[in-house]
Amino acid sequence: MKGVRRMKKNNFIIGLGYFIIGIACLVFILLYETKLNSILSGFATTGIVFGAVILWKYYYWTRPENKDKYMEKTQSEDIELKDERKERLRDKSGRYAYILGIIVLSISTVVFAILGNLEIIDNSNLIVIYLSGLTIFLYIIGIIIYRYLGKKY
Amino acid sequence: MSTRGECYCLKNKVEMLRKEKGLSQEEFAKAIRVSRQTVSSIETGKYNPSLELAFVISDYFGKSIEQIFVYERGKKNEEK
Repeated sequence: MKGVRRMKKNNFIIGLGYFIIGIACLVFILLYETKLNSILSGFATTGIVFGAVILWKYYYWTRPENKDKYMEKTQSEDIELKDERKERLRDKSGRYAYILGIIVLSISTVVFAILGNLEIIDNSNLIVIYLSGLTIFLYIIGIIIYRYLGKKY
Repeated sequence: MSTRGECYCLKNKVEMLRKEKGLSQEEFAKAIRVSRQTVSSIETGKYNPSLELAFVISDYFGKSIEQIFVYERGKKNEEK
């Protein structure tokens, strides 16, 4: 029917994918004892829970009695996503988060350097190098993206 | 250019026109495909719409942009 939106089959496939990966991780943990088991248990929990939620949503929204409700929901989601004021607010909040991130990273670098020099923590050099690198990376990538967008618009 | 407490502000008649049509903010927002909060912010002057949205609004009311949006000197946060 024209104008009637149904939940895409992709959602079902993605949900099933997550669920299968989660189960696979769970089976692996139960069968083998490795150093990665804690990470794999995290993957298993996420995969099973997330997959089950997506599959449940697919089942719920594809039921015929929920068709109209789903259309209304997707329309309002679409409006919320493309709303120009909200887009502008998202851009602004991203900008503030970027600036705050750089400030926090810079301060953290200095704090870790001091803690290292005072021998309060070991191996502070690695942390300081990583934090400095990340700060420089963020700053440079900010300039590159700005210039790219400047050429585009 | 603005002096203290005064500015060139974009004012609009969106609220008046919407009420004349007997629409709620929610209904009007749906019609022009923006969120209700955006309509509210435009009406209170907290947010100035893009040129594109201004055209959509003026087209909806069947008026020109100048009839709805007025760029004039006034006090900041002036009460309506």
